[in-house]
Amino acid sequence: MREQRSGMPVFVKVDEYKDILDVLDMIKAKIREIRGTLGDINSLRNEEDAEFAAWNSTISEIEKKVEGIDRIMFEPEQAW
Amino acid sequence: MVKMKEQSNELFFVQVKAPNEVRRNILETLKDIVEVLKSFEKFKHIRHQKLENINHLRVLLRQANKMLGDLRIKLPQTNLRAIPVKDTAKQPKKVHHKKKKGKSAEEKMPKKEMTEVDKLEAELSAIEAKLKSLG
Repeated sequence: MREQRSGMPVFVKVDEYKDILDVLDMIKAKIREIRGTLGDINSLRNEEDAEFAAWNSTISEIEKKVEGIDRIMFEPEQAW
Repeated sequence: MVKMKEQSNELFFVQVKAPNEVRRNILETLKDIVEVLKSFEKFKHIRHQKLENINHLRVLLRQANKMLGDLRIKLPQTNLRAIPVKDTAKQPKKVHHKKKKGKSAEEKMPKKEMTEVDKLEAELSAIEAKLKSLG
């Protein structure tokens, strides 16, 4: 009995069908918005990564300069 | 005694090898540190923006979830998938039995406040159950 029912056509009222199409449009618009927000988050994450990379290189520079100062100060020319 | 005192008061100096280079290095290091601090402020701003966007994303996902729920309600409430007759005759009894057991267990347990994750997990299992019933 049930197997026969599986092949039966399903009908939706015209006004409800219109509602369904409207809701589907709204869902599609929402998904577009979600995709846009995801893109924004991704670009912000990339900016964060870039900032991290910049910190890393700046700290390396600072390290080198401090080492240079240390080397100069550790080897004085002469004492008076 | 006076000589000893004079000796102790004597000042000694060490000549710095490249004073200009040292000064330049110190100033450059200071500049770098200030730049890092400035960058940190920028980073804080970016992180704040990111958190705002994540919260906005959560709101959008909730709205989309609600819309999909509305859509499901608007569609006809029928279950037309074929289910083998032999299995259906046996399974419902078992399911009912399990459900009763579950209910009694829930009644015995003190009610806990559902967190957001619990609610989502419950929703997920309900959807999975419906998907299973569709075959």
